[in-house]
Amino acid sequence: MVLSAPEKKSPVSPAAPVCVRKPWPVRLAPYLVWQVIAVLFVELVLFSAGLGEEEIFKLDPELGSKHMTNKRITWRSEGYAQSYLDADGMREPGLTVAKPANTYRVALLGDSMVEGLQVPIEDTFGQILSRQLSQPGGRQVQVLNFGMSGYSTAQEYLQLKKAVLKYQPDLVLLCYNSRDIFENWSPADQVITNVRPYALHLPGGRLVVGNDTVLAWLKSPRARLLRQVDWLRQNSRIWGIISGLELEMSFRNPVYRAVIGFLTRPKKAIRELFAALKPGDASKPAFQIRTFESTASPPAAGSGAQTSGNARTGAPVVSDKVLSGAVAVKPENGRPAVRPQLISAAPNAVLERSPIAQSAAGQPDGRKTYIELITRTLSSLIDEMRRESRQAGCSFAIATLPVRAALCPAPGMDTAFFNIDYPQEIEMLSQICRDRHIPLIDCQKVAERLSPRKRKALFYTMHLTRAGHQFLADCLCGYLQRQIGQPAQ
Amino acid sequence: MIFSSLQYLIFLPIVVFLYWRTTGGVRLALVVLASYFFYMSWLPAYGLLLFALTCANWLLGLAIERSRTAGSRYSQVFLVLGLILNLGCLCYYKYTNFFLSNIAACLSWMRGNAGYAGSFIPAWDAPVLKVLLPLGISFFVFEFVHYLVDVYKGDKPVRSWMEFAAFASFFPSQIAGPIKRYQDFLHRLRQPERWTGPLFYEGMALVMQGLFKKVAIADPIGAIVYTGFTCSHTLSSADALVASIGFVIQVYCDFSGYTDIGRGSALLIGIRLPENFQLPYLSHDLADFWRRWHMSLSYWLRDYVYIPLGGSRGNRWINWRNLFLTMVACGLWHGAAWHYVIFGSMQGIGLIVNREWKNLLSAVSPLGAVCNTWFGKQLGTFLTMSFITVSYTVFRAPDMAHARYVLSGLFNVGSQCTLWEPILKSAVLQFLSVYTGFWLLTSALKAISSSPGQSAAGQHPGLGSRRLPSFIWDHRVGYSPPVKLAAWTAALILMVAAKPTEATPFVYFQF
Repeated sequence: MVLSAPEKKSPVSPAAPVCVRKPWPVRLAPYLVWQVIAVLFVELVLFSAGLGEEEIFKLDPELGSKHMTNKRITWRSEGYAQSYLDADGMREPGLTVAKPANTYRVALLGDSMVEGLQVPIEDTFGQILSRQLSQPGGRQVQVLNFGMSGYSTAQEYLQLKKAVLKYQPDLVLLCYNSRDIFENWSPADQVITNVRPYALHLPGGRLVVGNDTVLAWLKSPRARLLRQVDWLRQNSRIWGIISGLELEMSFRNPVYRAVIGFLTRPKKAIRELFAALKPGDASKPAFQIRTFESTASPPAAGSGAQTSGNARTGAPVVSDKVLSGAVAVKPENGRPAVRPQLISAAPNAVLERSPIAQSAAGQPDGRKTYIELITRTLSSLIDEMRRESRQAGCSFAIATLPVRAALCPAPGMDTAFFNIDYPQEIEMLSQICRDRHIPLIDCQKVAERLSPRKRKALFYTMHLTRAGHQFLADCLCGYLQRQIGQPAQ
Repeated sequence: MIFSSLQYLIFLPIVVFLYWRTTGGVRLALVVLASYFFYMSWLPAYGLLLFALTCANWLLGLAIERSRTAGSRYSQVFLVLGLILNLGCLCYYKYTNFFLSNIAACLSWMRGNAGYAGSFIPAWDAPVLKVLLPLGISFFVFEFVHYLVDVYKGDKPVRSWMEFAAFASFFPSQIAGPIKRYQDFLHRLRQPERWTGPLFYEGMALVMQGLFKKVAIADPIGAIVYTGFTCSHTLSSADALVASIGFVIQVYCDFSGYTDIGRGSALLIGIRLPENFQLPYLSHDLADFWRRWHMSLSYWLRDYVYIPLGGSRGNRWINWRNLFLTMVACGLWHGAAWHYVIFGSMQGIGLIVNREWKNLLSAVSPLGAVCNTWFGKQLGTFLTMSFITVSYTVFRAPDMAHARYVLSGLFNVGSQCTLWEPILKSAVLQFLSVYTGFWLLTSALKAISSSPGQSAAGQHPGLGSRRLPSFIWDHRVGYSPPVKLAAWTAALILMVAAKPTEATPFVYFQF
């Protein structure tokens, strides 16, 4: 029958292959396998090139952030240097916690200027001093670098108690950098090194150093993400690359910011877009930092609208054509978009509870109140640090660091914060030191005597070059030589 | 927007998507609109110039054809008018300051050296024309010249303005070539390839390859080369070698990378642009080099400068003159400065020497046989590349003084290498190794897959699909899709890792 003919099975020709569609897991498997191979290959290439090694800070509930441990660093953003952080997060090779015999130890406390990731560890001023001051076959001098990017004096105080004194230093040298005075109570943002505990000394009260700010930040989505990917941050160079790119683009690429804004917070992005379209006051800065969240707090009444271009808390992109060859340079860290809800309720609460705060809220000169507050806080922190040092049997001194914004500012670089420039900060610090008979080595003042060309040679974009570290070592050498010959105060 | 920017990475997928969702006139309008958007994203005023030139050339093309078919001599007038318009624009934007400053320098020299007569020569400060060079003007002007000349010679003009506008403003080739031929382009525009898997993979592979060359190799090397070439003193031999060889690598990766991205982007909308490079640095002689380097420019110069000058007809001197003038024009095309003229002259002299050497080889057959051996060819490549390196040093240097610092530095043996740290910092050695390794592997796999006699019973002659495992190699698209995607992942991450702080424009943008 003709109709039944097609139903008749004919033998399948071997030349005509039957196309059987494989199940999707089987089809997906080669893609996954090759992707894994690609990722491993890239990790290998990045390892050999030393790329993606800028993720060097981990969250710390007490200090905010601190160095990762057992990690290689290759620093590229300013200068070029490779270092290794040991099991205690220290860069000095072969360092032991126990102090060797016949050794004088100096502990350097400070921020990224002291940390000096931009140059090899042997070229940092601490190591230069170690070499200069050690006697061959005689007394050795170890200068330990506890510098940590973004650290405020409050963090340095906590660090002193927690991590420094166990190294049994004979001298603690606090290296003061521009704006350190303001960072003891500064808002957190997306950058891990800007998450800081606060310190506050209200009139009639006592110094309060708390980590409520850090704990509040640790509850943020970003902090949770960072903790979830802790292993990746520690070990993956690809992660380092991607997070670095994300940070950079969030600063510099308006298209990226717009896309991310629309994806994550569409309503807010549209509001901001409309706000941006409105004609604004050109004299106003491009962004604002709300130092005080609560309008009830005294400084907010007079200085809540104060703005800043603090590089750590969100400077605009600094175009430094002088040193970086017409390449715009992103700030050291920080991000303009501050999140007021994370500024910490704790300092405000402390402030609001204080009777003086209640009365100061109505004062016309809120700025003066604020300056007094942060100066008092700084002096109390210094007192505490000196007390801790004395209890541990070591001397305490302060050195001011040379700062580019005050010596040879690049175009667009802010030279003052709260209308206070670095020399004024130093003057305030000098007063504190004079009152307490604390030695102060003013390296900034020495740097001011250099020719403009030599000043420029001290810095990359913001941080010290090899020449800068050598200069600092030369400044400090005389004081340390005298100090080493004297018993602890 | 530049090809290696985030803006382009958003722009391209949108255009590709819309292109394949539309047909006919809407599709054509989309191509034109996208191209103008791309071009005007730098400076909207540039778009007006392009638009005006497009309209003028389109009308001139029609007028030439009409006069030609009517047997009128006006076609010649229209052609000359068109050449004056196009080349006049190019000269105005690109060469005015160069000419004025040289005239002023000549007058100043004459005034100082002509004795008493010199006092009659007035002092004259050349005015400086403060105008930005429209991007890609050298490319689209050459395309217009080609169009008018070909129509004058008898080819049909483009009747549709939109098609002509698409040819003139086509964004994948707008800024830095390749210099298209309208006959070929319109054919492909009217009959684009179909959207298929292999087309997508081929286009994307070209885009990724170009991006990698640009972002991971050319830009990091560029930073090192910049340091070397802006030194105001004689470099050490190591630094001079790094700077000069670095630029040779940079300019190739930059320019061919751009072309790859452009060709890949065009392929994603089904249009195949001509190749511009065929491994030029493996050329055995200089003539071979110019056949493989910036091929679209070389062929343009051959067709519209060298042959109209007389080509290789006539006696030896005329032949030499034609070669020399063509290459001087090539040098001048790259920029309005004396070091570009000297670069072109060097190439002209090099080609003359090359031609005479070939004549000698054909006359003395034993010598020719020696040169045809493997060793002879490698020696030829070495000498050619040495010459290219020296001439590119002149090309790259901001002026002749800096070229002298670098060239004299090649013999400054014993001084310290200062560029080593920037090399380490850029990690460019690793990226070059990755690219070279990938290229060698791909070449080897291609050679294996295309080796004869291994195909499956003649079904895929020459493809050798039986020889390589299917999870690595696919006879339609080269690497199998999983391998391609993995390679793109790796390339993307490495590009991000290599990316300097600022996206740098392509070297050929300024031309």
